[in-house]
Amino acid sequence: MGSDLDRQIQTLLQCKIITEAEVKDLCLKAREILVEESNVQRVDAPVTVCGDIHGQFHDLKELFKVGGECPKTNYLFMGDFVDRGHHSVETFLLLLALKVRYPDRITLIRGNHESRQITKVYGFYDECFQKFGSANVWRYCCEIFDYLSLSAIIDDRIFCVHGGLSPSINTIDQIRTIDRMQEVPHNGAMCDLLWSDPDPDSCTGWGLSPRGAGFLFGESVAKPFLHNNGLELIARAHQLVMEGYKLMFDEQVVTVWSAPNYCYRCGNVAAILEVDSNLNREYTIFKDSDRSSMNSRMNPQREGPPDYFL
Amino acid sequence: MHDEPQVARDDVIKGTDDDAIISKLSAVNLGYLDDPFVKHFVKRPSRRPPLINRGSYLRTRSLDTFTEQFIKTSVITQSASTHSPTTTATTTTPAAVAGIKKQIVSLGCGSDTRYFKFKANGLSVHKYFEIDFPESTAKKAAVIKKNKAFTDIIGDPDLKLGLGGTEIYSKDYCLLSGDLREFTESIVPKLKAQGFDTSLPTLFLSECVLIYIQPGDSDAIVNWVGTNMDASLFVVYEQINPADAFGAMMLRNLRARQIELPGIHAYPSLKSQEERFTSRGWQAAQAVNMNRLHESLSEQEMKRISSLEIFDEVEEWQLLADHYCVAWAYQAKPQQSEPHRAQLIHLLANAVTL
Repeated sequence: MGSDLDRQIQTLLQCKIITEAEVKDLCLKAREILVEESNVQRVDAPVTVCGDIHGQFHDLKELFKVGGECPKTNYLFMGDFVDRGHHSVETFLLLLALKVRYPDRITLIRGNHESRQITKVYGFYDECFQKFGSANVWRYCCEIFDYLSLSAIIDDRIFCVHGGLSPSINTIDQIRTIDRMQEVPHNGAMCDLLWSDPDPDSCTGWGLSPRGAGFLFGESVAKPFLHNNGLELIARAHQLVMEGYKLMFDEQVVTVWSAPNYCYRCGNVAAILEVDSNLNREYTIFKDSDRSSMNSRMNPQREGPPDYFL
Repeated sequence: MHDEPQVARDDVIKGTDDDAIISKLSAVNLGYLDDPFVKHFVKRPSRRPPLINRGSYLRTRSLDTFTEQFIKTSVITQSASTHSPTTTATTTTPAAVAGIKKQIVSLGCGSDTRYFKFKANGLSVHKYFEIDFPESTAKKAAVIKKNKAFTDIIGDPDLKLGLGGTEIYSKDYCLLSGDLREFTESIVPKLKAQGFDTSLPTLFLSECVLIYIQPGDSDAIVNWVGTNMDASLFVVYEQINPADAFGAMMLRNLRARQIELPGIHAYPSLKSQEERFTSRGWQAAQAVNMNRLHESLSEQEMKRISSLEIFDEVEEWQLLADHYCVAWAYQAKPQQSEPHRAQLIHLLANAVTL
């Protein structure tokens, strides 16, 4: 069993796809593991926390080069594995295969793009169809999305979530009671955790999100949430940050972004957050791999050029 | 004559129109824009990503707004005794518009459908000129000629094709072929031969066009218009900010598609876009980026477009929109009587009210 999986990991590491039957089997195994995970998955430090990947496979390999290979390094990925980039299939399946192979060395939580509705608009559905000739792989993956945990907590001190806070959530325990095995709803606590953004300009606490889902949350709600739950930091992803990471609210909220040169267009650097066993935090910046930028530029027909207004 | 690499580069630039019109059709098909004419110019429609749809919509809407305001606004001198003789008032009623003849010149028009869309809605000007490379105008002329939807709008039984099917001449619409790099020598005489009148208030439109030619050549156009037109309004839509991380990547990615933007270094900022005109004697100029235009949408309109499709590209949109601007400038010749000049200025200023 282990050898099959190891072979699949080797295949995926070369940015090659595995068969539809293998995907089906992999998803079944992943489901058994993920169903046991809590909505607030406990993670022990040291751990390396990563933000959005968005199908930028070659940049994910760059991330592993910078942060160390899994399982040697313990990883926590905060969602948005798929969509936008050219290799959502290889990216998600590699992470999922690693999860099945090393369940205690990699944690995957759900992003707002791990959703049927969003992947139909932003590329993952089309990519599955293109690479497998049917929507089956997309369907298997979407079923797994429903099992992904909604958040994680490192040594009871660092709360990790894709988007942010929700006006319906005051305590970590309230997150534990959400029935997460479903498509991401359009509103409510589960939606907000995956869609919300911190707002440095907020005076009132909660604001309307320009994304049309989730909320903007200000310092005046973030700080009490941390205090009341005995936390020191909220680590989240979800927003492109040109510098790779961004600290807010007296360094009590951080955005970590792990897709360098996002969409092969934005020119940004990426970051990972390395938390050591004493919960000391270090940010490591990395750039897009030569392969990533070269592929998108040199093969615009095959991979689709980055879009501009011409 | 241009050398071979120049010809290849020109072909790439002509190809940018295909990209733009596919994006526009995507925005039409999703309900961002209402334009029944666009589909005739696209052979293989494809759905573009939400932020491209939003950008295409915003670009078209912004230039449409200025065009519509230019067509509609008029000036009447009020003779009532309570007002001084030079007091002006603006009106947007069609009756008042009838008196003032205006022209529109679309530079590098590509497959733009603005003339047809507006005239279908009862909005037209005395003369609407479109100019592009002969290869582009030939394609456009062919589409127009074979579709009743287009010829009905032109509504001229004497419509004629010329220069091997690369030009169209009609009462109020002329499609002319030429190279904008030879504006004064070759384009201006062509315009004049078709009844172009330098004494009429005229709107010049450049949608991602001037940026593709050398600054010396685009400056010659701005200079000529500023010097020779009695009253003119110039509206430019193009890329800016080449130096930051996003801008540098934009240039690299476009270069990989053989697309160069020679104009972006000459006019890299909102300020320099304004100075492009003010330094050449234009009365007023303003440039805003697409974020500013996005913010200027009414709450109702924002709600409408937000409901059309999911939009999860907020930060990326802001970056992209920061690298495109709409710049406009207007001028009216000082040799006219001062009240008349004031009226013209008023009219032009009204056209570019955000």
